[in-house]
Amino acid sequence: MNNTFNWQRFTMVLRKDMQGLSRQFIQLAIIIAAAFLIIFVYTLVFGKGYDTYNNIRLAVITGIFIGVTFTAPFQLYKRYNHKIYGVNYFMLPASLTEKWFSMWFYCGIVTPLFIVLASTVTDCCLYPFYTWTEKALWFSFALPSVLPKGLLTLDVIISFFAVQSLLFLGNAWFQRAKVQKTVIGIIIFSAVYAMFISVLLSSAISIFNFDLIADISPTPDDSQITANLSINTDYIPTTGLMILKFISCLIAPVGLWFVSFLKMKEQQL
Amino acid sequence: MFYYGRKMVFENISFDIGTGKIYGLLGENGVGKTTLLRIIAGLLFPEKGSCTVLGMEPAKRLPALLQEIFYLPEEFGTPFIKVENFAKNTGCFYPAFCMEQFCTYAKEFDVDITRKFTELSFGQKKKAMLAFGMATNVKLMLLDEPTNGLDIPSKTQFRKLVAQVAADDRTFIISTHQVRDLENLIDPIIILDYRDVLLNHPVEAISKKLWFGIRDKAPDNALYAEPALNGVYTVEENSSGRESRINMEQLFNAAMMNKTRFKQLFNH
Repeated sequence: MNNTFNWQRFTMVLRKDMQGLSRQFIQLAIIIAAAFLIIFVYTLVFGKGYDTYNNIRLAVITGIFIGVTFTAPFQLYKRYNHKIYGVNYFMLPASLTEKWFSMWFYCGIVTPLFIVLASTVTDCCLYPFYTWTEKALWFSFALPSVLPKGLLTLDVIISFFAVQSLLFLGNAWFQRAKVQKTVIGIIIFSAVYAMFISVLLSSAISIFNFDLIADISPTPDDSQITANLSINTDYIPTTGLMILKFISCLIAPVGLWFVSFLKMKEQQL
Repeated sequence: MFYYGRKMVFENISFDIGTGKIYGLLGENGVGKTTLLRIIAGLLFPEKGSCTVLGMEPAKRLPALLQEIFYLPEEFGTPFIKVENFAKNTGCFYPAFCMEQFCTYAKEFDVDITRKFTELSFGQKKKAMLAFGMATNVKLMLLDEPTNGLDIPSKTQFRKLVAQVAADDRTFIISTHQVRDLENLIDPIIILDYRDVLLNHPVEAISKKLWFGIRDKAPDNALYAEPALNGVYTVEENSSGRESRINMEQLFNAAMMNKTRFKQLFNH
């Protein structure tokens, strides 16, 4: 028997988790549908135009998207390492790898996709009732406007995983008062990380662009300073920011996920 | 060796659990009965020493071992779903799980499996979980206070079921304070003391060494005496080899009052 990963067992874990999480996803779908409906009715009753409707809707869905996806580990798996409620989860005959990947899949993949899907379906349901002349074709209207422009770029997706990995770790690390402790942890982590980055950047400046910076101070003309600064910001960060981005968006999330995996492995109830 | 925070719970304890038996795990509050069950289940890890179950380390939480263990804690969580759905989606992880058996046991316990866990009382939830556990047909059942919260008919049903499903390759470890509920069921008996094991013997061995009975007056050498309407219940050393029926509660009280003597009697 493969005690590390078995595809059939993994699908069973996915199915079992889905069964337990279906209630939360149904609630989420109802919240999204209700929010869209309220906005729709509000714009109709007060005679607002399509732009008002769309702007409010985008603001609401952005709020829901950020709020729900970032806190998904707490919303969906809050009790998994609880001394009483977590026993069933840990005693389930599946490997830790399978359980962890299932958790990651539902928090990182299913939740955001579900929000997009629920928003799209709600849009599609409301579409026949639209009275605005601006209304576009079915999916060309629904899909791109579900999320704010630029939300689905690679950078944003990576950043999303980076933020969520922190909360994922917080959920695995703490057994009680998870949200509060994680927030405090993130504040401390951010302070330490900011210090690390400032040291990194100052090192980069001193190595790559020391002379250019020295040129700024004797220049009396503001426009000249700006020009020099723009040269600096273009030049210095290229390498520094690439390293920073690599650490923030790849090394850090993967590291945090790995730590959460190890924590789950060492978790005692 | 195991610590709870700074408090040492076990130190230098060593014992084996045989197969095909129904162990009764007794002990005062806080001696570590639940801790021991959780170590065996792999939910807690010993700081020093090792615990091996079916040739594997429970702390590694390998699926191969987990599919042979069912642990029902005294307090447990249940999902917000129907009992039958829980059984279907969780039972598939246990190779020997039988849905028909589950339905039968649930029926015997008078649990409606078409209802959601949230609609059931604590006792019914416990019965549903017990029925599920029995139907998994695992090799090791760890039950922590299984009769707590059960009504009188359910306790009887529980005893019947355990006796029915007990098999040569199936071991039960039942931690309980309700010794009278399980008196005729458990054998061997393990009595835990602070950091130690006072007794781990089959009923037959205990009854060879101890005599349980009623006397008009408690003898001086009685290990335990308890006044009753028709005399005094006593626990004495069985020096004459007389047969008697073990009274679990009196055995436990005698053990608590004569720890050193019990160790001498049973561990040497």
